[in-house]
Amino acid sequence: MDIKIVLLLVLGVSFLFFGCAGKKANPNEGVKYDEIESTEPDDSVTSPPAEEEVSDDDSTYVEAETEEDDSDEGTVEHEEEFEADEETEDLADLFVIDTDKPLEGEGLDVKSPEQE
Amino acid sequence: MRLILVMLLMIAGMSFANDALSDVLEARADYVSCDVDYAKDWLSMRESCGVEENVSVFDSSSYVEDLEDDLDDIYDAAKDGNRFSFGLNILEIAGDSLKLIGEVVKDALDHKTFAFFSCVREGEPSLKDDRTDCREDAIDKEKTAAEDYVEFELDEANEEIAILDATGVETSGMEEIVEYGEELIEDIDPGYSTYDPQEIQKLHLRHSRLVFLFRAEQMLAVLNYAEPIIEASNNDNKEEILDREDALREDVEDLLDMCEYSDEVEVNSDYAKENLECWEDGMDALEEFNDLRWLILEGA
Repeated sequence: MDIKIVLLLVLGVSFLFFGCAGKKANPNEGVKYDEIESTEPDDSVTSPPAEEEVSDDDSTYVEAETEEDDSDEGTVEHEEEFEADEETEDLADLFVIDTDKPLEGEGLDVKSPEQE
Repeated sequence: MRLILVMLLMIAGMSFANDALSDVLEARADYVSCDVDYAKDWLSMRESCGVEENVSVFDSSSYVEDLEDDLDDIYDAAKDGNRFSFGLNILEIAGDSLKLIGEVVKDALDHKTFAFFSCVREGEPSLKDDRTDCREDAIDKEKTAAEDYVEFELDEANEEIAILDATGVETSGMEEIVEYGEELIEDIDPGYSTYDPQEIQKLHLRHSRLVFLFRAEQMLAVLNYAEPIIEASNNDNKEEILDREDALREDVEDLLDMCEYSDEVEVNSDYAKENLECWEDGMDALEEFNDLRWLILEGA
């Protein structure tokens, strides 16, 4: 095959993949609180939050997917995708809260064998 | 200045690892090891009685091995300060302990003599005394660690309140919870000094409720602070943010009513059940609260 045709094919395919790529899907785009069914939370100190399942009814929302957090607490870290002004960032940063649940006396009632 | 305050808040929100957590978990692991040691000694004593009274007893070595493996995992989780793994491993050892007890009961029905049972009964009291001493040592260790742990939490909570207060957030709800936390610290010494696991568990149940309520109050405080700011903003997601904030505020207020704090724990299992409901319902709210951050940023 002529090298020029090969190069044109490669460039054309590259454009299809990269030239058409738009803004990354916002994992939370359009997800409504009251349409979300959360799975049982994982209270690991390094755990990700529960994946949110979107109802099938009338949803056009993107399913929320979150990345595992490396911190000791159950907060979520998303890749920073937004260019917000400082005031908006300051406000948004107030919406950060730990989701880990404390232990409640586990281990105090492990049973031992006793006389029959 | 505002940016510094908010950065401090983010750090407080993420929370430094509580240095006393490993100490609390290790003390609890020590407590569990008292039961494992008792089980091993009891089985060994029972086997000796079997030899003495010429009756066969089941081979418990694999069960003991399971308990020892479980205990190793518990200590590993404790050293790592990994609460989730610790809790899971406790469930594991509890399950294996019940399996062992099941085998003991089954074996007891298998050609045993009255003399054998008498032998075992006579050997038990000294083993139980050893277990009691072991448990009391573990409880003393945990008491100190628990006081440190809650002190650290209260320091962090006060830091968070100070930061939010400086931002203009109304924090009286959070402050009230901190006051309850200070009362809890006062009750740690008398509670642990009973050496009664039920009394000690009451303190843990109260602690869990207070942690939940502090976070619920924090959510409510921030939602109330943010609402007029969002209302006045040109955020692209303003309507959705306000709708979701309204829904969340209502849910948090319901949770605060449903999960109202009491320092009186009458029946541990009832209080634990209420805590479970609070946390299960509250977890949705906590996650929604965290999700609002991205909605605000995305619409900026």
